[in-house]
Amino acid sequence: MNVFDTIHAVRPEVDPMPLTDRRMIRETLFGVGHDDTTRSFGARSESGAVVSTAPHGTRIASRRRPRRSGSILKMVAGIAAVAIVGAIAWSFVSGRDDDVISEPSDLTIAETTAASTAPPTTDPPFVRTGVSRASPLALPSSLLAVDDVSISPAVTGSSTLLLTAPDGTTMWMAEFDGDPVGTDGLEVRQVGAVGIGVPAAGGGASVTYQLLTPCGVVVLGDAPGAPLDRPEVIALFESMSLDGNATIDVSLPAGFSVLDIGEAQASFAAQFQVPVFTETRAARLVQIPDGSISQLVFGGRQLAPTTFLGGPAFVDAAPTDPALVSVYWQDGPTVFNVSSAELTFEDLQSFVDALEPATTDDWMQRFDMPVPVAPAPTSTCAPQPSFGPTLNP
Amino acid sequence: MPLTGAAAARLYDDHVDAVHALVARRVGAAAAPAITAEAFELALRTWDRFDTERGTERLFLYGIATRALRGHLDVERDHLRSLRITSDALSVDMLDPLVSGQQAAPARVVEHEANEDLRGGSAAVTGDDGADPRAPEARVMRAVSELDPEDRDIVLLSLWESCPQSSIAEALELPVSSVRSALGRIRRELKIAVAKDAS
Repeated sequence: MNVFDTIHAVRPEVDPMPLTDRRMIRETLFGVGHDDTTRSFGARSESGAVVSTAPHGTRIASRRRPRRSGSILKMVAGIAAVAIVGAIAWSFVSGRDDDVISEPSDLTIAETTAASTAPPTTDPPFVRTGVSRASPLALPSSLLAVDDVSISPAVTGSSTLLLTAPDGTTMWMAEFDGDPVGTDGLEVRQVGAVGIGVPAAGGGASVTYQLLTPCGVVVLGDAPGAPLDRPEVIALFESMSLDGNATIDVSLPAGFSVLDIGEAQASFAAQFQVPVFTETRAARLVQIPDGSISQLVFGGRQLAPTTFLGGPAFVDAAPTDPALVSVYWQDGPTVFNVSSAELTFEDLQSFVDALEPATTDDWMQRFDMPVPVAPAPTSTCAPQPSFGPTLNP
Repeated sequence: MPLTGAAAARLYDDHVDAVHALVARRVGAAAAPAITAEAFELALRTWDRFDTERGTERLFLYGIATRALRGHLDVERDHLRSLRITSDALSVDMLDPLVSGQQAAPARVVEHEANEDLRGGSAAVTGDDGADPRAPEARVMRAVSELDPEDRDIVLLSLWESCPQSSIAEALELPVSSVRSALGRIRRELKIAVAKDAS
């Protein structure tokens, strides 16, 4: 234990103020029985006054939601469902089915480019987490229980892209190196210069399209709830071309813009139990140094701009769980996603505000977990998919 | 303008438990009621300083309570020095009960700034009387008791009251950046003080 851990461990548990003291002080301050009819000391005494340890208890109490059993599991399941096609793609190229489907954060990507809306990495770090090139991660300043912790290695040769369509919806694309993927179970057709496969079974919260490429996998995940073959998607496909090296050039149609793009980087995820009064609530924090928001939203999400702790950020505008609050942002070199179905947006701000910068070594030591090594590429297929200079100069 | 009447009574009823808990942790149960009363009297008298746009009642009261504690530094010092880690604190705070659903799951958190001086042995379960002054936490709490009062407020609001840095800044009327940098500095100072004490 370091000194702060020791102080935390020494924290005394205290009993509620004795009823006689409580009443005596009250009467000293306000007089006997002053406005005391609605606040029964007897009731408090019988129930045992609850001593709050939350500094912002009044605010949280007014907004607290009933604890949702398994809500985080639902959240993970929802994200996993959205990401299923991409996950299959990744498992195909990596040869490891289990990792990615159960751990959607395993995937992707990205190096910030000039097209990114996130601040360039040369900017001074935002105060909200204080991360920097030297300390690119953030950790709670005090010890918190954790439900799960994972570090996902960077997936070599993969990248992701997040586009905003003219109607404000968000489209997500990803490319993965590897052997070519078959078209079993897909309805295949030609749209413009590219071949497209769509799962014949359909279903799911969003439509996922697969580009037919000579090697590797390229997928496009449409915004949640968007219909199959909507005009914006067709326009995007019609703007694409694919050469013999599987390079994807996209001359973005009018009204489209790149929200973020980048190559896959290692991601660090942990679900913490955040103290609220005498309970704890789950909050999941994913962070990717040198990553992109497009990697964080693996499978695609509908994002809406917001302000989080005074800086620009995005919220998931159509979460798989209506109770889920999910926020994405970039501080310095690192992109973050914090989400919870049990805490409000404001509570998540308080949680993030209490984070402190940490190095990768700090993170690994705190959770006793090394950064895993990404599996070596097994593909012998020469042309690997990549986004071309038209889109990613 | 002091806060009076029903609004003052409501403020007291809503927050007295939390303020008392903060004070009791700092000075012990015996001295806590009187200092809590002192804090509320001061809060009601200076209520015009509370800005509803800027902060919460709870944090304003935390700030007032820490000011009230400044008048009882000797009592606080003696109490802090008497504190020891209890077995409950270890089992509840230092373990992750959710990992694999096992109550006795080993701690998942391994601090990167572990100080070998502080590792010595398992935490003893002791009372206030006869506590081993050489216990690792005794050295830490002696160092805490010697901190500048404002630094002590910052570190104990963070570690004992789970206040985010922004809340500490609000309670103590400091810039957030000052709180952030202070926490790093205090940790270093405490490590040095504990190491000196051990030698």
